[in-house]
Amino acid sequence: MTTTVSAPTVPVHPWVEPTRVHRNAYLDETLFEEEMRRIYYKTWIYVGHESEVANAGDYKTTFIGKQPVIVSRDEDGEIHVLMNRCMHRAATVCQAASGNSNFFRCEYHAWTYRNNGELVAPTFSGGYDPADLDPGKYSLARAPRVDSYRGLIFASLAGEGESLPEHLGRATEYIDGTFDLAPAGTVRLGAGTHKYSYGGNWKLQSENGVDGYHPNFVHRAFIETSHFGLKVFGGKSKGRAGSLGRGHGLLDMRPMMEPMMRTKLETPQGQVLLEQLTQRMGNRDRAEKTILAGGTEGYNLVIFPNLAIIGAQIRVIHPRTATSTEVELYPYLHDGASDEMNAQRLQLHEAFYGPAGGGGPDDVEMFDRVARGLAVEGVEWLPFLRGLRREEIDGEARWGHVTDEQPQRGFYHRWLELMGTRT
Amino acid sequence: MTGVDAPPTVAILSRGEAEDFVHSEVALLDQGRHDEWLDLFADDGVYWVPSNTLDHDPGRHVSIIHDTKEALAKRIMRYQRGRLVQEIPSRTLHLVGNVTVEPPEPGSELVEVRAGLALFEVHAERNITYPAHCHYRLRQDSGRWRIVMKKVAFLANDQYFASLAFLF
Repeated sequence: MTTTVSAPTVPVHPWVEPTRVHRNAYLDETLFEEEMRRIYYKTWIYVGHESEVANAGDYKTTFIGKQPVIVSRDEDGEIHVLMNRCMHRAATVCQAASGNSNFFRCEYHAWTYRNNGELVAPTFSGGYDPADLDPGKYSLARAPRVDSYRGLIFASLAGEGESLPEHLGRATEYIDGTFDLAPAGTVRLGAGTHKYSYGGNWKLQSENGVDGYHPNFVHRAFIETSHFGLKVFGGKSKGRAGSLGRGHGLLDMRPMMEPMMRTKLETPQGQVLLEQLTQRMGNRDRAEKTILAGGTEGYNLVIFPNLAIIGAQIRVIHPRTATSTEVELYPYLHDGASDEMNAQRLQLHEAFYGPAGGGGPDDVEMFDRVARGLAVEGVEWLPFLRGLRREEIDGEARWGHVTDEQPQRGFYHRWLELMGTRT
Repeated sequence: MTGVDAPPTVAILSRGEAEDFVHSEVALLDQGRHDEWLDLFADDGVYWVPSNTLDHDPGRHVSIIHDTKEALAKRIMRYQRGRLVQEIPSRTLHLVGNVTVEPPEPGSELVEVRAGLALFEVHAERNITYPAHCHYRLRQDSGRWRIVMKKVAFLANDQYFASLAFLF
């Protein structure tokens, strides 16, 4: 590892440069549409967790960018990501957030599809000449590529492109680190959601999930009334902020959290977990290291462009317009853990996150203030310069102090690769 | 408990008394008298705002708020410090009606009070109404009624909210 200033290696966009972002990048609807096409409809986007469609017939609905999709599991166990749009006159064919059904029927003219997307038949099919309408060509449109990692289902609307493992890159190490903490090595959703929205751009939330500069100020009231303390995000913290490459970011509090994790390890519950992980991994040292690292209790992970794993939650950011965003937090439970342990995970989550949490509303308040401040004209740029000259280069990754802006620079580096020079 | 019948000393609220209790309880919230409000809770009291549905097991499904009295005290402390979202405190009006009382089950000392709530919140540029089902579980302690549980299931708890930085 060497310490040096990273050189920009990507084309310069009129509104996004390697170390600064123009206000229009948060405001312009034309740019937003371009982001949809070049980012959301090109790369891998998280659409759900396998536990949400655990059984044949299970489905859930969500979005890839602005486009509504259905994630379904058919009778053969295969997972499909179908566009939630009738092939006839465009109505959505599935309205529920989740459920179990072998068929999706459009209520407009009753066209009915199997849960693998095939059209059963157009209603009153005698009215169609087979020469005009071949039912085989009217299956629901679908994401051409679907893949999953550790239960996280991703889809890409591009027929070709990098594989999911290529896209995730070094983020997998940190996905593993947190899901490995479950006694069974797998996690599940199904414990409900927190939802919130704000009147600002989606990138504000992606930036914020790995921003270690703000907690001591924005979340001061919470930090002062909890055991967490101001040191974790203080100027002398040993925590690190990093860009992992491919746009993914990490906020690594582990060096400051280890004493707390060690205390947890030494509780009776911690010792039970140590036994469980030792049995599964066949290696006590590795089990102990996994517990002391604490998974996403020890770090925040943002996966480009709109997924985060933070604390006990999987966070999904839904861009709606350039200036409106909806966010969903899905607490994840540990398979193989006791009900009591999982209830504690929910408690930990509720204390800080969600619309009434000790910290969540304050972040949203800041997004609203940023959105208001962005109306100022004549001050056009937001600098992402913090820690630029103390970056450690580590392959594709860049590391700095926990309060530095590597994760954000890394995010915009990837953004630039995909968005290219604006024409 | 030795006999099959509830002891005759179990206290019961009339509907009028329950209404008085609930009216004065929500008035403390509307007047910002949070410490006095907190004092209405029993030491083992719980304040619960379910998420996504009107009812669920808070140990298996995430809640919007599921506070012990200790957590509630911290929440109130944060409100009183007035950081960020609370810099402009929410102004609220709790309108309560449809109050019903269920006396304790045999062998129990817990009275169940249910009410309908229309909560009006004004915060900065926001003005939202939250219709909700309230469920109080009360126990008499040294002659005072204490809240063992206050549950507020608001109808829109499956929707997106900017923040819910006030007490229901």
